[in-house]
Amino acid sequence: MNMIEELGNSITGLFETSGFATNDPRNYIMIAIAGVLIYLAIRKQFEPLLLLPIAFGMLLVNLFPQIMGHPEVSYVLVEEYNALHPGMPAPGDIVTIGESVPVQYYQIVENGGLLYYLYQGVKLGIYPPLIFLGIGAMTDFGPLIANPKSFLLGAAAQLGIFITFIGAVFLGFTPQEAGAIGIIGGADGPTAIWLTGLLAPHLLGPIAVAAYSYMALVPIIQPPIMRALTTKKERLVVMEQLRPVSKLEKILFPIIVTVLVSLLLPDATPLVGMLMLGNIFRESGVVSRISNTAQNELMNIITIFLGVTVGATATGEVFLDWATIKIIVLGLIAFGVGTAGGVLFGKLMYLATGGKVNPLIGSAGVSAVPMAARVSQKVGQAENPGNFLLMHAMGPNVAGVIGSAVAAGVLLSILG
Amino acid sequence: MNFMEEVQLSLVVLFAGLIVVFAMLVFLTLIIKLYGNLIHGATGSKKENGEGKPAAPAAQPVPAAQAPAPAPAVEEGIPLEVVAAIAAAVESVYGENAAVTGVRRAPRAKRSPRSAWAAAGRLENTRPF
Repeated sequence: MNMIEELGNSITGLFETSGFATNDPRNYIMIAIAGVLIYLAIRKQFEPLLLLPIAFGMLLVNLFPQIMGHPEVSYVLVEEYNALHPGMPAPGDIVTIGESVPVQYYQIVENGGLLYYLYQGVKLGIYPPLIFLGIGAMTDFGPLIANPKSFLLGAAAQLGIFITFIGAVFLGFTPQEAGAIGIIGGADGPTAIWLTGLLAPHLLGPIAVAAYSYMALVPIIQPPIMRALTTKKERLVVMEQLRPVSKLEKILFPIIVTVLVSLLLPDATPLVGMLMLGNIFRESGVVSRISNTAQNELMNIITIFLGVTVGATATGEVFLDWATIKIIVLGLIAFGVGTAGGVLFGKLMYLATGGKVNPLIGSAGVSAVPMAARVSQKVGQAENPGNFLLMHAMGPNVAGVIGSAVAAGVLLSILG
Repeated sequence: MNFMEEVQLSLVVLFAGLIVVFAMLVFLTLIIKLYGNLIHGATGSKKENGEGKPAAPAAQPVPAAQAPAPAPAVEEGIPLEVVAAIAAAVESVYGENAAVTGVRRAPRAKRSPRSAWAAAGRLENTRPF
Protein backbone atom coordinates (compact mmCIF):
# COMPACT_ATOMS: atom_id res chain seq x y z
CA MET A 1 0.00 0.00 0.00
CA ASN A 2 2.79 2.36 1.03
CA MET A 3 4.69 1.66 -2.13
CA ILE A 4 1.68 2.45 -4.29
CA GLU A 5 1.08 5.63 -2.31
CA GLU A 6 4.71 6.71 -2.74
CA LEU A 7 4.54 5.97 -6.44
CA GLY A 8 1.39 8.08 -6.69
CA ASN A 9 3.02 10.90 -4.72
CA SER A 10 6.08 10.80 -6.98
CA ILE A 11 3.94 11.03 -10.10
CA THR A 12 1.86 13.84 -8.60
CA GLY A 13 5.04 15.64 -7.56
CA LEU A 14 6.49 15.30 -11.04
CA PHE A 15 3.29 16.65 -12.59
CA GLU A 16 3.13 19.55 -10.16
CA THR A 17 6.64 20.66 -11.03
CA SER A 18 6.17 20.10 -14.77
CA GLY A 19 5.42 22.89 -17.21
CA PHE A 20 1.84 21.61 -17.67
CA ALA A 21 0.98 22.56 -14.10
CA THR A 22 3.14 25.63 -13.60
CA ASN A 23 2.88 27.47 -16.93
CA ASP A 24 0.44 30.26 -17.55
CA PRO A 25 -1.93 29.86 -20.56
CA ARG A 26 -0.21 32.91 -22.10
CA ASN A 27 3.00 30.89 -22.26
CA TYR A 28 1.30 28.52 -24.70
CA ILE A 29 0.23 31.39 -26.93
CA MET A 30 3.86 32.56 -26.93
CA ILE A 31 5.01 29.05 -27.80
CA ALA A 32 2.71 29.21 -30.83
CA ILE A 33 4.11 32.65 -31.78
CA ALA A 34 7.65 31.27 -31.41
CA GLY A 35 6.64 28.44 -33.74
CA VAL A 36 5.43 30.95 -36.35
CA LEU A 37 8.68 32.91 -36.06
CA ILE A 38 10.74 29.73 -36.41
CA TYR A 39 8.72 28.92 -39.52
CA LEU A 40 9.31 32.42 -40.95
CA ALA A 41 13.04 32.21 -40.20
CA ILE A 42 13.53 28.76 -41.73
CA ARG A 43 10.96 28.58 -44.48
CA LYS A 44 10.77 32.25 -45.54
CA GLN A 45 14.33 33.09 -44.48
CA PHE A 46 13.28 36.33 -42.72
CA GLU A 47 16.55 37.49 -41.11
CA PRO A 48 17.15 33.87 -40.02
CA LEU A 49 20.48 34.59 -38.34
CA LEU A 50 18.70 36.55 -35.64
CA LEU A 51 15.08 35.56 -35.92
CA LEU A 52 15.84 31.87 -35.37
CA PRO A 53 17.74 32.32 -32.07
CA ILE A 54 15.21 34.96 -30.95
CA ALA A 55 12.31 32.62 -31.65
CA PHE A 56 14.03 29.71 -29.93
CA GLY A 57 14.82 31.87 -26.90
CA MET A 58 11.13 32.77 -26.82
CA LEU A 59 10.24 29.09 -26.98
CA LEU A 60 12.63 28.17 -24.16
CA VAL A 61 11.52 30.87 -21.74
CA ASN A 62 7.85 30.09 -22.24
CA LEU A 63 8.42 26.38 -21.71
CA PHE A 64 10.61 26.90 -18.66
CA PRO A 65 10.42 30.48 -17.32
CA GLN A 66 13.06 29.76 -14.67
CA ILE A 67 15.70 29.66 -17.40
CA MET A 68 15.63 33.47 -17.10
CA GLY A 69 15.19 33.36 -13.30
CA HIS A 70 17.17 35.77 -11.14
CA PRO A 71 19.58 34.38 -8.56
CA GLU A 72 18.00 34.49 -5.12
CA VAL A 73 19.53 34.81 -1.68
CA SER A 74 17.68 33.65 1.40
CA TYR A 75 18.66 33.61 5.08
CA VAL A 76 17.93 30.84 7.58
CA LEU A 77 18.70 30.99 11.29
CA VAL A 78 21.68 28.75 12.02
CA GLU A 79 20.16 27.33 15.22
CA GLU A 80 16.83 26.66 13.56
CA TYR A 81 18.46 24.95 10.57
CA ASN A 82 20.70 22.77 12.71
CA ALA A 83 17.76 21.77 14.89
CA LEU A 84 15.73 20.72 11.87
CA HIS A 85 18.62 19.08 9.99
CA PRO A 86 20.89 17.51 12.59
CA GLY A 87 24.21 16.33 11.18
CA MET A 88 23.63 17.89 7.77
CA PRO A 89 26.37 20.00 6.16
CA ALA A 90 26.01 23.77 6.22
CA PRO A 91 23.87 24.98 3.30
CA GLY A 92 25.86 28.21 2.88
CA ASP A 93 28.12 30.77 4.47
CA ILE A 94 27.34 32.05 7.96
CA VAL A 95 26.63 35.78 8.21
CA THR A 96 26.08 37.70 11.38
CA ILE A 97 23.35 40.33 11.38
CA GLY A 98 22.72 42.86 14.14
CA GLU A 99 25.14 44.77 16.33
CA SER A 100 23.63 44.84 19.81
CA VAL A 101 22.18 41.32 19.55
CA PRO A 102 24.15 39.56 16.80
CA VAL A 103 22.28 36.67 15.18
CA GLN A 104 23.87 34.12 12.90
CA TYR A 105 22.20 33.10 9.63
CA TYR A 106 23.06 30.74 6.84
CA GLN A 107 23.18 32.67 3.58
CA ILE A 108 21.69 30.34 0.96
CA VAL A 109 22.32 31.38 -2.61
CA GLU A 110 20.21 29.91 -5.41
CA ASN A 111 21.74 30.42 -8.82
CA GLY A 112 19.78 32.09 -11.60
CA GLY A 113 18.82 30.41 -14.87
CA LEU A 114 21.26 29.93 -17.74
CA LEU A 115 19.80 32.66 -19.91
CA TYR A 116 19.73 35.11 -17.00
CA TYR A 117 23.52 35.10 -16.95
CA LEU A 118 23.85 35.30 -20.73
CA TYR A 119 21.33 38.16 -20.70
CA GLN A 120 23.69 40.31 -18.65
CA GLY A 121 25.52 41.05 -21.92
CA VAL A 122 22.36 42.69 -23.22
CA LYS A 123 21.43 44.35 -19.95
CA LEU A 124 24.86 45.88 -19.53
CA GLY A 125 25.01 46.96 -23.18
CA ILE A 126 27.90 44.65 -24.09
CA TYR A 127 26.62 42.54 -27.00
CA PRO A 128 25.34 45.26 -29.36
CA PRO A 129 28.69 47.11 -29.48
CA LEU A 130 30.43 43.76 -30.09
CA ILE A 131 28.05 43.11 -32.98
CA PHE A 132 28.99 46.57 -34.26
CA LEU A 133 32.64 45.52 -34.08
CA GLY A 134 31.85 42.70 -36.49
CA ILE A 135 29.75 44.93 -38.73
CA GLY A 136 32.61 47.43 -38.88
CA ALA A 137 34.99 44.66 -39.91
CA MET A 138 32.60 43.67 -42.69
CA THR A 139 31.74 47.15 -43.97
CA ASP A 140 33.42 48.96 -46.83
CA PHE A 141 32.96 52.67 -46.21
CA GLY A 142 34.49 53.43 -49.63
CA PRO A 143 31.21 54.56 -51.27
CA LEU A 144 30.57 56.92 -48.36
CA ILE A 145 34.09 58.37 -48.50
CA ALA A 146 33.83 58.78 -52.26
CA ASN A 147 30.54 60.63 -51.88
CA PRO A 148 30.41 62.18 -48.38
CA LYS A 149 27.12 63.93 -49.17
CA SER A 150 25.59 60.51 -48.54
CA PHE A 151 25.90 61.33 -44.85
CA LEU A 152 23.04 63.77 -45.26
CA LEU A 153 20.73 61.06 -46.55
CA GLY A 154 21.76 58.91 -43.60
CA ALA A 155 20.72 61.77 -41.31
CA ALA A 156 17.41 62.51 -43.06
CA ALA A 157 16.32 58.89 -42.82
CA GLN A 158 16.48 59.13 -39.00
CA LEU A 159 13.35 61.29 -39.13
CA GLY A 160 11.26 58.19 -38.45
CA ILE A 161 12.90 57.77 -35.03
CA PHE A 162 11.87 61.18 -33.77
CA ILE A 163 8.39 61.22 -35.32
CA THR A 164 7.69 57.81 -33.81
CA PHE A 165 8.95 59.04 -30.46
CA ILE A 166 6.25 61.70 -30.54
CA GLY A 167 3.59 59.14 -31.49
CA ALA A 168 4.68 56.87 -28.64
CA VAL A 169 4.57 59.68 -26.09
CA PHE A 170 1.02 60.53 -27.11
CA LEU A 171 0.00 56.87 -26.92
CA GLY A 172 0.87 56.89 -23.25
CA PHE A 173 4.39 55.43 -23.17
CA THR A 174 6.91 56.97 -20.80
CA PRO A 175 9.60 59.15 -22.46
CA GLN A 176 12.18 56.35 -21.99
CA GLU A 177 9.87 53.75 -23.52
CA ALA A 178 9.03 56.14 -26.37
CA GLY A 179 12.73 56.63 -27.10
CA ALA A 180 13.27 52.88 -27.22
CA ILE A 181 10.28 52.43 -29.54
CA GLY A 182 11.37 55.29 -31.79
CA ILE A 183 14.78 53.75 -32.38
CA ILE A 184 13.09 50.93 -34.31
CA GLY A 185 13.00 53.54 -37.11
CA GLY A 186 16.79 53.39 -37.21
CA ALA A 187 16.35 49.95 -38.80
CA ASP A 188 19.38 48.78 -36.94
CA GLY A 189 18.90 45.79 -34.64
CA PRO A 190 21.97 46.17 -32.40
CA THR A 191 21.30 49.90 -31.91
CA ALA A 192 17.66 49.22 -31.04
CA ILE A 193 18.64 46.53 -28.53
CA TRP A 194 21.41 48.65 -27.04
CA LEU A 195 19.19 51.66 -26.45
CA THR A 196 16.21 49.62 -25.26
CA GLY A 197 18.43 47.72 -22.85
CA LEU A 198 19.47 51.03 -21.30
CA LEU A 199 16.19 52.96 -21.45
CA ALA A 200 13.36 50.40 -21.21
CA PRO A 201 14.70 46.86 -20.75
CA HIS A 202 11.20 45.49 -20.08
CA LEU A 203 10.30 46.23 -23.72
CA LEU A 204 13.28 44.40 -25.22
CA GLY A 205 11.28 41.44 -26.50
CA PRO A 206 8.59 43.31 -28.46
CA ILE A 207 11.03 45.93 -29.75
CA ALA A 208 13.59 43.39 -30.95
CA VAL A 209 10.94 41.28 -32.64
CA ALA A 210 9.41 44.38 -34.29
CA ALA A 211 12.80 45.75 -35.41
CA TYR A 212 14.02 42.49 -36.95
CA SER A 213 10.66 41.66 -38.49
CA TYR A 214 10.47 45.01 -40.24
CA MET A 215 14.11 44.78 -41.32
CA ALA A 216 13.24 41.50 -42.97
CA LEU A 217 10.25 43.18 -44.60
CA VAL A 218 12.23 46.15 -46.00
CA PRO A 219 11.80 44.88 -49.60
CA ILE A 220 8.03 44.95 -49.09
CA ILE A 221 7.67 48.12 -46.99
CA GLN A 222 9.97 50.49 -48.86
CA PRO A 223 9.21 50.22 -52.61
CA PRO A 224 5.61 51.57 -52.48
CA ILE A 225 6.79 54.58 -50.44
CA MET A 226 9.72 55.17 -52.80
CA ARG A 227 7.52 55.02 -55.88
CA ALA A 228 4.83 57.22 -54.33
CA LEU A 229 7.28 59.99 -53.49
CA THR A 230 9.29 60.08 -56.72
CA THR A 231 8.52 60.77 -60.35
CA LYS A 232 9.53 58.43 -63.16
CA LYS A 233 12.02 61.03 -64.36
CA GLU A 234 13.70 61.08 -60.94
CA ARG A 235 13.84 57.29 -60.75
CA LEU A 236 15.53 57.17 -64.15
CA VAL A 237 18.50 59.30 -63.08
CA VAL A 238 21.80 57.52 -63.77
CA MET A 239 24.43 58.67 -61.30
CA GLU A 240 28.07 59.31 -62.12
CA GLN A 241 30.53 56.57 -61.27
CA LEU A 242 32.13 57.01 -57.85
CA ARG A 243 35.79 57.97 -57.69
CA PRO A 244 38.26 55.38 -56.43
CA VAL A 245 39.11 55.70 -52.75
CA SER A 246 42.71 55.29 -51.61
CA LYS A 247 43.75 52.99 -48.78
CA LEU A 248 44.97 55.95 -46.73
CA GLU A 249 41.52 57.54 -46.89
CA LYS A 250 39.93 54.30 -45.76
CA ILE A 251 42.36 54.00 -42.84
CA LEU A 252 41.89 57.59 -41.73
CA PHE A 253 38.08 57.41 -41.92
CA PRO A 254 37.47 55.29 -38.79
CA ILE A 255 39.96 57.33 -36.78
CA ILE A 256 38.41 60.65 -37.76
CA VAL A 257 34.83 59.47 -37.20
CA THR A 258 35.71 58.00 -33.79
CA VAL A 259 37.49 61.13 -32.62
CA LEU A 260 34.74 63.50 -33.78
CA VAL A 261 31.75 61.47 -32.61
CA SER A 262 33.34 60.62 -29.26
CA LEU A 263 34.21 64.23 -28.55
CA LEU A 264 30.92 65.70 -29.73
CA LEU A 265 28.49 63.00 -28.59
CA PRO A 266 30.14 60.74 -25.99
CA ASP A 267 26.96 58.68 -25.48
CA ALA A 268 27.31 57.30 -29.01
CA THR A 269 30.92 56.20 -28.44
CA PRO A 270 30.26 52.55 -27.47
CA LEU A 271 28.47 51.88 -30.76
CA VAL A 272 30.37 54.14 -33.15
CA GLY A 273 33.71 53.42 -31.49
CA MET A 274 33.33 49.66 -31.84
CA LEU A 275 32.03 50.01 -35.40
CA MET A 276 35.11 51.99 -36.31
CA LEU A 277 37.45 49.66 -34.40
CA GLY A 278 36.16 46.79 -36.52
CA ASN A 279 36.59 48.88 -39.63
CA ILE A 280 40.18 49.83 -38.88
CA PHE A 281 40.93 46.13 -38.31
CA ARG A 282 39.67 45.57 -41.84
CA GLU A 283 41.21 48.53 -43.59
CA SER A 284 44.62 48.50 -41.92
CA GLY A 285 45.32 45.15 -43.55
CA VAL A 286 47.79 44.21 -40.81
CA VAL A 287 45.49 42.29 -38.46
CA SER A 288 43.65 40.01 -40.82
CA ARG A 289 43.34 37.33 -38.12
CA ILE A 290 41.56 39.71 -35.75
CA SER A 291 39.48 41.11 -38.57
CA ASN A 292 38.39 37.63 -39.61
CA THR A 293 37.55 36.72 -36.02
CA ALA A 294 35.48 39.88 -35.55
CA GLN A 295 33.57 39.24 -38.78
CA ASN A 296 33.01 35.55 -38.24
CA GLU A 297 33.54 33.71 -34.97
CA LEU A 298 32.99 36.60 -32.54
CA MET A 299 30.03 37.93 -34.51
CA ASN A 300 28.43 34.50 -34.64
CA ILE A 301 28.93 33.80 -30.95
CA ILE A 302 27.51 37.16 -29.91
CA THR A 303 24.63 36.75 -32.36
CA ILE A 304 23.67 33.49 -30.66
CA PHE A 305 23.81 34.99 -27.16
CA LEU A 306 22.05 38.17 -28.20
CA GLY A 307 19.31 36.45 -30.15
CA VAL A 308 18.49 33.77 -27.61
CA THR A 309 18.50 36.10 -24.61
CA VAL A 310 16.51 38.85 -26.30
CA GLY A 311 13.97 36.23 -27.34
CA ALA A 312 13.92 35.00 -23.76
CA THR A 313 12.65 38.37 -22.56
CA ALA A 314 9.42 37.77 -24.51
CA THR A 315 7.43 35.93 -21.88
CA GLY A 316 3.68 35.66 -22.26
CA GLU A 317 3.17 38.08 -19.40
CA VAL A 318 5.27 40.80 -21.08
CA PHE A 319 4.59 40.16 -24.75
CA LEU A 320 0.84 39.57 -24.78
CA ASP A 321 -0.08 43.09 -23.95
CA TRP A 322 -1.63 46.06 -25.75
CA ALA A 323 1.74 47.75 -25.53
CA THR A 324 3.17 45.14 -27.93
CA ILE A 325 0.46 45.83 -30.51
CA LYS A 326 1.18 49.56 -30.22
CA ILE A 327 4.93 48.91 -30.59
CA ILE A 328 4.35 46.82 -33.73
CA VAL A 329 2.24 49.61 -35.28
CA LEU A 330 4.64 52.35 -34.21
CA GLY A 331 7.57 50.37 -35.58
CA LEU A 332 5.92 50.21 -38.98
CA ILE A 333 5.30 53.97 -38.87
CA ALA A 334 8.96 54.50 -37.89
CA PHE A 335 10.18 52.51 -40.89
CA GLY A 336 7.79 54.25 -43.26
CA VAL A 337 8.60 57.77 -42.07
CA GLY A 338 12.34 57.03 -42.09
CA THR A 339 12.13 55.80 -45.68
CA ALA A 340 10.08 58.84 -46.66
CA GLY A 341 12.54 61.19 -44.93
CA GLY A 342 15.45 59.72 -46.87
CA VAL A 343 13.63 59.80 -50.22
CA LEU A 344 12.40 63.37 -49.69
CA PHE A 345 15.90 64.53 -48.83
CA GLY A 346 17.09 62.68 -51.92
CA LYS A 347 14.61 64.74 -53.94
CA LEU A 348 16.05 67.87 -52.38
CA MET A 349 19.52 66.77 -53.43
CA TYR A 350 18.16 65.96 -56.89
CA LEU A 351 16.97 69.56 -57.20
CA ALA A 352 20.09 71.07 -55.64
CA THR A 353 22.45 69.17 -57.96
CA GLY A 354 20.44 69.80 -61.09
CA GLY A 355 19.27 66.19 -61.38
CA LYS A 356 22.54 64.36 -60.67
CA VAL A 357 21.27 62.47 -57.59
CA ASN A 358 18.69 59.71 -57.89
CA PRO A 359 16.32 60.18 -54.92
CA LEU A 360 15.86 56.42 -54.65
CA ILE A 361 19.19 56.11 -52.87
CA GLY A 362 17.75 58.17 -49.98
CA SER A 363 15.66 55.27 -48.73
CA ALA A 364 18.85 53.31 -48.05
CA GLY A 365 19.66 55.85 -45.31
CA VAL A 366 17.52 53.90 -42.85
CA SER A 367 20.41 51.40 -42.29
CA ALA A 368 19.25 47.77 -42.68
CA VAL A 369 22.57 47.08 -44.40
CA PRO A 370 22.70 45.94 -47.18
CA MET A 371 19.03 45.13 -47.74
CA ALA A 372 17.91 48.77 -48.06
CA ALA A 373 20.64 49.48 -50.64
CA ARG A 374 19.53 46.43 -52.62
CA VAL A 375 15.97 47.77 -52.58
CA SER A 376 17.18 51.10 -54.05
CA GLN A 377 19.01 49.16 -56.76
CA LYS A 378 15.98 47.00 -57.49
CA VAL A 379 13.48 49.88 -57.70
CA GLY A 380 15.88 51.89 -59.89
CA GLN A 381 16.51 48.95 -62.16
CA ALA A 382 12.80 48.33 -62.55
CA GLU A 383 12.65 51.68 -64.39
CA ASN A 384 15.94 51.36 -66.25
CA PRO A 385 17.58 47.92 -66.37
CA GLY A 386 20.91 49.57 -67.22
CA ASN A 387 20.94 51.69 -64.05
CA PHE A 388 23.18 50.43 -61.24
CA LEU A 389 22.45 52.33 -58.04
CA LEU A 390 23.80 49.76 -55.59
CA MET A 391 27.18 51.36 -54.86
CA HIS A 392 25.61 54.84 -54.70
CA ALA A 393 23.02 53.51 -52.24
CA MET A 394 25.69 51.85 -50.08
CA GLY A 395 26.91 55.35 -49.10
CA PRO A 396 23.66 56.43 -47.41
CA ASN A 397 23.19 52.87 -46.19
CA VAL A 398 26.37 52.82 -44.10
CA ALA A 399 25.86 56.49 -43.21
CA GLY A 400 22.51 55.35 -41.78
CA VAL A 401 24.34 53.00 -39.41
CA ILE A 402 26.37 55.93 -38.08
CA GLY A 403 23.26 58.16 -38.13
CA SER A 404 21.15 55.77 -36.09
CA ALA A 405 23.98 55.29 -33.58
CA VAL A 406 24.21 59.07 -33.25
CA ALA A 407 20.42 59.32 -32.88
CA ALA A 408 20.57 56.63 -30.17
CA GLY A 409 23.25 58.66 -28.40
CA VAL A 410 21.05 61.77 -28.58
CA LEU A 411 18.05 59.91 -27.14
CA LEU A 412 20.19 58.44 -24.39
CA SER A 413 21.63 61.80 -23.44
CA ILE A 414 18.19 63.46 -23.34
CA LEU A 415 16.16 60.63 -21.79
CA GLY A 416 18.71 58.48 -19.97
CA MET B 1 2.68 64.06 -17.87
CA ASN B 2 -0.04 66.42 -18.96
CA PHE B 3 -0.73 67.31 -22.59
CA MET B 4 1.45 70.44 -22.61
CA GLU B 5 4.38 68.59 -21.07
CA GLU B 6 4.04 65.89 -23.72
CA VAL B 7 4.04 68.50 -26.49
CA GLN B 8 7.05 70.24 -24.97
CA LEU B 9 9.04 67.01 -24.60
CA SER B 10 8.13 65.90 -28.12
CA LEU B 11 9.32 69.16 -29.65
CA VAL B 12 12.54 69.15 -27.62
CA VAL B 13 13.41 65.61 -28.69
CA LEU B 14 12.36 66.18 -32.32
CA PHE B 15 14.35 69.36 -32.82
CA ALA B 16 17.31 68.49 -30.61
CA GLY B 17 17.53 65.05 -32.21
CA LEU B 18 17.31 66.20 -35.79
CA ILE B 19 19.63 69.16 -35.26
CA VAL B 20 22.30 67.10 -33.48
CA VAL B 21 22.12 64.20 -35.99
CA PHE B 22 22.26 66.57 -38.96
CA ALA B 23 24.97 68.76 -37.42
CA MET B 24 27.11 65.72 -36.64
CA LEU B 25 26.73 64.18 -40.07
CA VAL B 26 27.17 67.53 -41.90
CA PHE B 27 30.35 68.04 -39.88
CA LEU B 28 31.54 64.55 -40.83
CA THR B 29 30.63 65.25 -44.47
CA LEU B 30 32.79 68.37 -44.49
CA ILE B 31 35.71 66.72 -42.74
CA ILE B 32 35.63 63.64 -44.97
CA LYS B 33 35.30 65.82 -48.07
CA LEU B 34 38.20 67.99 -46.94
CA TYR B 35 40.62 65.20 -46.18
CA GLY B 36 39.40 63.24 -49.18
CA ASN B 37 40.24 66.19 -51.42
CA LEU B 38 43.60 66.66 -49.71
CA ILE B 39 44.64 63.03 -50.04
CA HIS B 40 43.12 62.58 -53.47
CA GLY B 41 44.75 65.79 -54.66
CA ALA B 42 48.11 64.86 -53.16
CA THR B 43 48.14 61.36 -54.65
CA GLY B 44 46.82 62.73 -57.97
CA SER B 45 49.62 65.33 -58.24
CA LYS B 46 52.19 62.69 -57.25
CA LYS B 47 50.98 60.47 -60.04
CA GLU B 48 51.19 63.36 -62.47
CA ASN B 49 54.81 63.92 -61.36
CA GLY B 50 55.57 60.26 -61.81
CA GLU B 51 55.96 59.69 -58.07
CA GLY B 52 52.68 57.95 -57.57
CA LYS B 53 54.06 54.47 -57.42
CA PRO B 54 53.87 53.10 -53.91
CA ALA B 55 57.10 52.14 -52.20
CA ALA B 56 58.07 48.82 -53.68
CA PRO B 57 57.40 46.02 -51.22
CA ALA B 58 60.59 44.44 -49.98
CA ALA B 59 59.56 41.02 -51.17
CA GLN B 60 58.76 41.99 -54.76
CA PRO B 61 61.16 44.65 -56.03
CA VAL B 62 60.22 44.33 -59.66
CA PRO B 63 61.30 47.30 -61.78
CA ALA B 64 58.50 49.55 -63.01
CA ALA B 65 57.27 48.31 -66.33
CA GLN B 66 56.90 51.26 -68.62
CA ALA B 67 56.82 48.99 -71.67
CA PRO B 68 54.63 45.89 -71.70
CA ALA B 69 56.31 42.99 -69.91
CA PRO B 70 57.67 40.30 -72.23
CA ALA B 71 55.36 37.36 -72.76
CA PRO B 72 56.06 34.56 -70.26
CA ALA B 73 57.70 31.38 -71.44
CA VAL B 74 54.86 28.87 -71.37
CA GLU B 75 55.45 25.14 -71.37
CA GLU B 76 53.86 23.38 -74.27
CA GLY B 77 50.39 22.05 -73.63
CA ILE B 78 49.31 24.63 -71.06
CA PRO B 79 46.22 26.48 -72.36
CA LEU B 80 46.31 30.27 -72.53
CA GLU B 81 43.28 30.46 -70.22
CA VAL B 82 45.36 28.77 -67.51
CA VAL B 83 48.21 31.22 -68.09
CA ALA B 84 45.73 34.12 -67.80
CA ALA B 85 44.30 32.70 -64.57
CA ILE B 86 47.78 32.24 -63.10
CA ALA B 87 48.77 35.79 -64.11
CA ALA B 88 45.58 37.17 -62.52
CA ALA B 89 46.25 35.22 -59.30
CA VAL B 90 49.85 36.49 -59.18
CA GLU B 91 48.67 40.08 -59.73
CA SER B 92 46.02 39.69 -57.03
CA VAL B 93 48.48 38.38 -54.45
CA TYR B 94 51.69 40.28 -55.27
CA GLY B 95 50.28 43.47 -56.85
CA GLU B 96 50.57 44.98 -60.29
CA ASN B 97 54.36 45.31 -60.20
CA ALA B 98 54.84 41.56 -60.23
CA ALA B 99 55.42 39.89 -63.58
CA VAL B 100 55.00 36.28 -64.67
CA THR B 101 58.16 35.27 -66.48
CA GLY B 102 57.36 31.65 -67.12
CA VAL B 103 54.71 28.98 -66.60
CA ARG B 104 55.62 25.31 -66.38
CA ARG B 105 54.17 22.24 -64.75
CA ALA B 106 55.59 21.43 -61.34
CA PRO B 107 56.58 17.80 -61.00
CA ARG B 108 54.56 16.16 -58.25
CA ALA B 109 56.78 15.43 -55.30
CA LYS B 110 57.10 11.67 -54.87
CA ARG B 111 57.17 11.88 -51.10
CA SER B 112 54.05 14.07 -50.80
CA PRO B 113 50.87 12.65 -52.22
CA ARG B 114 48.98 15.76 -51.05
CA SER B 115 47.27 17.71 -53.84
CA ALA B 116 48.08 21.35 -54.51
CA TRP B 117 44.69 22.38 -53.04
CA ALA B 118 45.30 20.40 -49.85
CA ALA B 119 48.76 21.94 -49.54
CA ALA B 120 47.32 25.44 -50.07
CA GLY B 121 44.66 24.76 -47.44
CA ARG B 122 47.26 23.61 -44.93
CA LEU B 123 49.37 26.66 -45.68
CA GLU B 124 46.40 28.97 -45.15
CA ASN B 125 45.62 27.40 -41.78
CA THR B 126 49.14 27.30 -40.48
CA ARG B 127 50.48 30.61 -41.81
CA PRO B 128 49.29 32.69 -38.79
CA PHE B 129 51.32 30.49 -36.43
